[in-house]
Amino acid sequence: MSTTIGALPPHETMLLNMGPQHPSTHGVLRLLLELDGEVVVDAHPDIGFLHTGIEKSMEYRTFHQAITLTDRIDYLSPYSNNLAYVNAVETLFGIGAPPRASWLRVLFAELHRIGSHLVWLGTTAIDLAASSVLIYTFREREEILNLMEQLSGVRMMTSFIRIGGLPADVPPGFLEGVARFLERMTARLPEYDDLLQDNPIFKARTVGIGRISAPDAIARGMTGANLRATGVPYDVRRAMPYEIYTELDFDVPTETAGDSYARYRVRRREITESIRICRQVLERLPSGPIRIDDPRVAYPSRDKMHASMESLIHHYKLATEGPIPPPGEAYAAVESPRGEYGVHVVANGTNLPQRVRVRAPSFASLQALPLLVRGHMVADCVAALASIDFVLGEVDR
Amino acid sequence: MIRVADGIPTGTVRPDQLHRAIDALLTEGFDYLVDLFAYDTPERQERFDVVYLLHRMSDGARTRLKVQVADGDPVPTITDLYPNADWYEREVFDLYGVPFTGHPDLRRILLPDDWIGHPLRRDHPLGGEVVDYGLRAERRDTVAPLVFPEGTGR
Repeated sequence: MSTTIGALPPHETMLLNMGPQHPSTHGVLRLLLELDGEVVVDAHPDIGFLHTGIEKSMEYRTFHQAITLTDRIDYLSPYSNNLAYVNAVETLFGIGAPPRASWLRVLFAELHRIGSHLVWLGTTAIDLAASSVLIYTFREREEILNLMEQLSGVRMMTSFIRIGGLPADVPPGFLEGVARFLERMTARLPEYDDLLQDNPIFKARTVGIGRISAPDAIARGMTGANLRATGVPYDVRRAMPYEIYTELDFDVPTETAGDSYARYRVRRREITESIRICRQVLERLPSGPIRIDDPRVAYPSRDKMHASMESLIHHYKLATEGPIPPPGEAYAAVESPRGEYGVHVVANGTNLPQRVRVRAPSFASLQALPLLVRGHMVADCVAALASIDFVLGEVDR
Repeated sequence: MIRVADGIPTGTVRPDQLHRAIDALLTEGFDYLVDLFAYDTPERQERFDVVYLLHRMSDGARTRLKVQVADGDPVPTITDLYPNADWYEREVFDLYGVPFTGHPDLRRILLPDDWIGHPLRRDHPLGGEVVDYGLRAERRDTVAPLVFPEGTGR
């Protein structure tokens, strides 16, 4: 958040202030557009309006309590945030989740990926004045949120994860519900294609708009669909596999054009791939425990607590103090719907983290925005802005 | 030396060697700056660790470099090597007060320009900030340092 701007070139241009209150900035982003007539000469994104100090707050929570704060960073795909943070803490402990928990984590993360891409698709179409798409995508997203509510009692900020596994197994009927949803979702995807894929207006607004080359995208730290739309097949699920992604059969869609339409096509195909992954999880989900049996992170069983004083003390210590990882630092990354979402945790031997750093993919993508919009009209700036799929909660943290 | 649990090769360099070291890594093909951030250990004289995480797209190799500086000591910028270091260095400057020499546009990025202090420092209190949303707001700095209850870590 800034009242001044950086060095501006000294020619006759107009400065237009777009945002922070503007419907197409997807939150509170301020964009200073430098205009020559209606052509964007340069853009200066101004961020920080949603800065809530989440990283600072996490230093004052135990390692377990901090999980609930990670949900709020990228609120469209909370499960990726949970997963990256918990993976980093598990790396500090040198543990991992048991197989069933690991498969279920992947299922939830992929469901949230579908949900996030649906929100992106609907809001992007609205920015391009195709308001009906949002009705379709939110119909499906509602089903995902209902599933999450059935799972955890909460629709969005589920925090349905614990260090070393999951808090509970899935409720009865949940997996059947997921299977029914995947059926319906598959059947409805052609409706989206009918609305957008070959729609001449949609293509006129997106093809060739907001183009970026692969070397530029890498140099700017762009990841996720934004990078894959330039032809670089970089996906954290493949590059640094976590959980059980190595056992799954899925494709990493890429395009080569690097424009808004290419980013749309990549995300659209990622929905299909996520459905494929969810189907495989449903078919191959192993049975077994959902939480690792490690006294440093897991509560003793109820039976033990009723019979032994030591187990009761153990439970009390873990519930009040929280788990204490050995001193050290660890970075863990996941492929969130927006790209490489990484968490770096520094532990100093106490029950509170010394530092939790969130590497937010939107932060990097938004920094590249000036490259995307230079030379375009103001209205195309909106299309380019929407196509990079940023979440301000994650940019500002 | 802090234990690195994630297996990423990690090295520490002096601030005056940093730019050359990063340049050498860029020449070796580490083309993607994944992250640049800092953390604070106020017990140490050189309290700030500025951390650089680099990735090579061709084979997926990763490496991490650290530089440790005392309060007020500058770190050379790497914005000439990695354009995306721009915002990351501004963020470190904003939240920790670490200056980057040679940065083209070192301003606060997340906090307002008139903010006093660097909130991610460990000795900066959590909460207690007086925020006045009025048009003629004056900054008041009457915040007492936060005292942790015993046994809850630092």
